[in-house]
Amino acid sequence: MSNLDFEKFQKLFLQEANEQLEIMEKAIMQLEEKGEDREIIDEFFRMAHSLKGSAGSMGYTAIASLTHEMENVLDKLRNTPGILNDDMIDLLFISIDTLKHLRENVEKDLPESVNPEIDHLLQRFQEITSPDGQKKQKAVDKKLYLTSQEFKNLKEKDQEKNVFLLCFELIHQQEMQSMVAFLIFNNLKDEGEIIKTCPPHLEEVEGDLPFFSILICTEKGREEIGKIVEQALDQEEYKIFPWSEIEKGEAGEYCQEVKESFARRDESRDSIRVDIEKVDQLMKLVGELVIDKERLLEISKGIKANSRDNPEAQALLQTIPHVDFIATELHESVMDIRMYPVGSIFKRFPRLVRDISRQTGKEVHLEFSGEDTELDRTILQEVFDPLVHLVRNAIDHGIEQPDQREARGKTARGSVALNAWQEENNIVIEVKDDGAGIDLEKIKARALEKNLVREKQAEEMDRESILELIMEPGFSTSESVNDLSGRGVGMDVVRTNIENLDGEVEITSEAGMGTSIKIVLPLTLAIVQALMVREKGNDYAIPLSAIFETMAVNGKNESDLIKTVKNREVVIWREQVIPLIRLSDFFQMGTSCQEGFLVIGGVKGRMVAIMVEAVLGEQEIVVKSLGDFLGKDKLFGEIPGISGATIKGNGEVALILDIQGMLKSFKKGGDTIERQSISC
Amino acid sequence: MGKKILVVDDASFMRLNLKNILEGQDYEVVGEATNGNEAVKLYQETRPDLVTMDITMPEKDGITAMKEILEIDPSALVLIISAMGQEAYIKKAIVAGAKHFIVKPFKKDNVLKVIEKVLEGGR
Repeated sequence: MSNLDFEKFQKLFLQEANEQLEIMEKAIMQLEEKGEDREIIDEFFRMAHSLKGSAGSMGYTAIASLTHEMENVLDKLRNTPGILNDDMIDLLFISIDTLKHLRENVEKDLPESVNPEIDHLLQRFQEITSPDGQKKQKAVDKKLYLTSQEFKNLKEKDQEKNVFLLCFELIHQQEMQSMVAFLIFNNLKDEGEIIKTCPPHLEEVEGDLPFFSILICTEKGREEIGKIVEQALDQEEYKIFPWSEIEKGEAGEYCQEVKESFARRDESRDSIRVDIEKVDQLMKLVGELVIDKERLLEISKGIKANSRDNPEAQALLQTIPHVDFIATELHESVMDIRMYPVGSIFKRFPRLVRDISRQTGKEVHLEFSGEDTELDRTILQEVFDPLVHLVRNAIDHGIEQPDQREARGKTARGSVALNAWQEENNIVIEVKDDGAGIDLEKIKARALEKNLVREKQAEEMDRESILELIMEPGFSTSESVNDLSGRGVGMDVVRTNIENLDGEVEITSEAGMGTSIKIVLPLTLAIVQALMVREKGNDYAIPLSAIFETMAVNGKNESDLIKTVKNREVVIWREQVIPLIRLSDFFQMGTSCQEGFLVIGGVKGRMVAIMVEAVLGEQEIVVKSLGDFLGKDKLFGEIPGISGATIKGNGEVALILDIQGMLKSFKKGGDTIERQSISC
Repeated sequence: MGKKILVVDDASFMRLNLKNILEGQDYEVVGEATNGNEAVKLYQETRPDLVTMDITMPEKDGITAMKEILEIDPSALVLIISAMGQEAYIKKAIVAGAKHFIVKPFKKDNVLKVIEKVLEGGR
């Protein structure tokens, strides 16, 4: 093709592509509005298909591969009605946007970019279209489904090697069952190729997992595989089926061949849209149910003691544990409905990152991990804006210009990672960059300039406190106020937003190496496990997630446990010196008891020992906000150390202690802080 | 002759607890280490058949200590002791070569069973 010809073709291509993209965009909007419609899908498909064809012949591979994947999804939609979901719609939207950019690049004679964003898109399409794409699927179903094609492939594989299906039912191990699964998975993966697992992505599952199965292709024999498995568990806890038995249907309980179309339908069946308010209402009701359940359990304790031979009382005693079980299950199910993978907001970032990196002239590679980590949907929505801000900051202030990076011995392209994971009762979302890091001296100087700290204060501050300064209102290090960050919406807004969700922001940074900002959010807002303690006749709840140990203090060991350092009482625990807070002193309720219990707790590595009169036991508590009464500008003013209240089994109110708040107020003012006397 | 076991935990209560369980069953506790550094040192000195290794310890954590032991002796059998909910650590430990794990607070029968399994499976 001569140059002239090429130009002619290119012009035609651009023109056509424009029209095709417009039609596709219209189609996707209609699909979103109306739901599935065969005609619209057909037209959409045709447009994607012809764009693919012309892009392919012009040699625009990115456009061609993207439209190819779109075609696959649309084809799937045509063949299996009822599977269109928000994820697909979002993905198609993003794809059209991406195609528009790619087209623009062609028009501007820019080289067709091979950026990671497209790779990510392609991967996501493949996740949707491949049969084992649904990562979130829970192991409700014991069966491993194999499509006819997979069945055929396995049969071939079994000619040369051995295919085994291993089905596990954990009888002895009751705790952290998923770790046994992980152990076995880890041991087996060195012995051959793991083809499929049930639940899918077995190695990522956490928590209870009484049943799971692994399909493996290996050179090893049955006995050898058995020996490896039995290093982790007992013979009666698993079954092993060679391919011949699977083929004969002898493993029918655990493994089934499905026709392609059924397999597809199965993986994405039955989803309905429900108004979030309805779910919230359900959640509220479940909360009330849990309170009543705790009351019932409390009442049943009384019955046990004094009515052994009353048959009705006995029947009640048998029913209550069942109610307890059902209420807990119900709570978990409702929580689960509200859970949403963080990936759903991560996917909005590639576009943003590309835009910012273009505007700033910086090269940025965006990475994700833990997209499947789930978080309450409401929290997730609130987290999006703060995350956008953090990512903007990372690119704007963190990542250096390509030449600067190279001069510092780094790759020209900077990296920003969005990571998510669960840590005990929290979900952590991290924005991490490998940029210049935060200059502590600059921060100090800026804070002094803005009168946020006094000079003497600044000198004494530790690293962590200095970094926290950037979240003070009125602080902004951006030297040039530009389009992106530094528009007045600073880190203080990020912090406020996150704290409104009961979360925290943690900053770590190393000069020259990069910055990591973590948003730590509570997994659930409503119901938590707590340790109930008593002091001066009042009960308090301490979230179990913040507790490490409890110890009895009596006349004998008091002097060993509690020491006085610089006029402050401390506790020596596991070779650490940690501050002691006597609950009575903290809330100014009179003299503290001399004997009782020490609750060793801590948040973010900062430890504290709390002295109380009595430890009552563990309980599931429903967190009720005291928002109208406590807190800044509220009826009683801000009372540090209280995060809310709960209703106990006997109907009385107990206050929930906020260990972090206690630590903060303790650190700030020591004993001089003004606290109001409080009791419930 | 009882198999030799090295017990590693920073809490003396835990060490005592394990020791009682083990010595009641013809195992010989050949050493007790209170942190990762001691664990590596004692491993070299005593060459036990199995190590029970706590994860969170001062100075050197259990996973690092295990890795060092495995470098010295790739056939070492290390059993990780972890608190509830430390999935991430357990995974890390398994990938790094731990043969099994026990969850605190543990039951005697379970401890013995897991130890037996690991010893059986060991080369």
